[in-house]
Amino acid sequence: MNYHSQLQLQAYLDAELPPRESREVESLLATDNEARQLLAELRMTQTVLAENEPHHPLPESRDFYWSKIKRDIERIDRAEENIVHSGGFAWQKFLAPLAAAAMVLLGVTVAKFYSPVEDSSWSVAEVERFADDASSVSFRSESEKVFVVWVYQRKDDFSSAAPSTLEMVTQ
Amino acid sequence: MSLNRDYSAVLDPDLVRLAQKGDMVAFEELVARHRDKIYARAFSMMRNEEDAVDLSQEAWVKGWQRLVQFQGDASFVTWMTRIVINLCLDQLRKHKRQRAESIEALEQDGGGVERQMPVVTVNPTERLERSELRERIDRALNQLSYEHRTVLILHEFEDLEYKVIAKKMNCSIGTVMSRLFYARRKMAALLAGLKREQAQ
Repeated sequence: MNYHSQLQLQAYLDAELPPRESREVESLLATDNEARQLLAELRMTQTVLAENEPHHPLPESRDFYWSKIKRDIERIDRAEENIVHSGGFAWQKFLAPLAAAAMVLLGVTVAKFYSPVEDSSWSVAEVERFADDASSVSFRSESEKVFVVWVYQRKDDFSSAAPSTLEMVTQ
Repeated sequence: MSLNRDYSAVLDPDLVRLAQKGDMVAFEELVARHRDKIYARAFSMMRNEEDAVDLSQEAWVKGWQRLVQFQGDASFVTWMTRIVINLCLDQLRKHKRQRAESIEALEQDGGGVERQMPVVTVNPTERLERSELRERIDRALNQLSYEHRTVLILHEFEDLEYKVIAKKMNCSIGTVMSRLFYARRKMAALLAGLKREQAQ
C-alpha cells in the first residue's frame, strides 16, 4: 500500500472523501488485510483520543484569575476613553499650520523692526515655510499700511483655492 | 443593580446578551464557567502552564472586546475556544521563528518514518484506568512536535475539518493530512509503548 493510499484511508475514516473515492477505498479494504489493520489502528487512536482528552484544571483561583482579566479590560477601556475624550488625534492636524502661522507672525514682527522700508507701494514675497505640509505667502502695502500673510496647506492650490488660514497684520 | 443578581442559574446565551450590553458581572460568570476549558485548550497546545494562563487570560480580554461581534452561530464556549486557539497559534509561530527546527521534525519531514511503523493491532489502552490513560495520552502528546500535536488537537479534540485546519495553520490540506497521519501513527506507537521497546 503506497503513501497516497494510506492518506486516502485516513481521509475515508474522517469522512473527508468524495463518494467515488470512498468506494475505491472500500474496494481496497475488502481485499487488503494490511489496509484493514491500518484503518483499525487509526480508528482506535481517534476513539481513544476523542474520549480521553487530558484534564488540565486552571492552577489559579477563580477570584485571582478574574481579577487579572478585569484589570486588563479596565485598563484598555480607560485608554480608549482617554483617546475619545481628548478628541483622539484630530487636533494634531491643526498643530503644524498653527505653529507655522505663529512662526510667520514672529518673523514678520522681527522683520518690521530690522528690515529697510520698501520704496514700492506694495510687494509680494514668500516669507518662510516652517512645515512640510504648510506654506505661506505675504505682501505688504506701504500706501495702505497693511501687511497680509496667507498660511495654507501645501496640497491646496494657492492660485485657485481659498487659503486655509489668513492672518492680517496692519502696520 | 447587576451586582445583586445571582447569575449562577442563568443560561449562557442570556449571560452573553447581558455582557454584550456591558454587564461585566455576567461576563465574569461566563469566565467562571468556562475558564478550565479555555485554559486546558491553551495548555494542550502550549505545554506550558505560564503561557497557558497568560494566553487564556488574553483570550478572555479579547472575548470581552469582541463580544458585540458574537452572533451565536456557535456556542459561546466554542467561539471562545477559537479565540484562544488563534492566540496560541500566533504564539507558537513566534516561538518557531525563534528556534531551530527540532530534530524530530527534521526526521519526520525527511524520512517518512510513519510509513515504516508497525501497525498496532492490539488496543494498548485496554484495562487502563481512565486517569492513567489520560496521563499516558498527555505524555505522548508531549513527545510530538508542535505542528503534529496542533493538527491532532484541532482534528480530534476540536473536530475541525482538514480545510479549516489548513487555513488556521497556513498550510495545504495535503500537509494537514500528512501531519495528522504521522501524529496518529506516532500516538498509537507511543501508547503501545513501542517507542520504548525500539530504543532498547
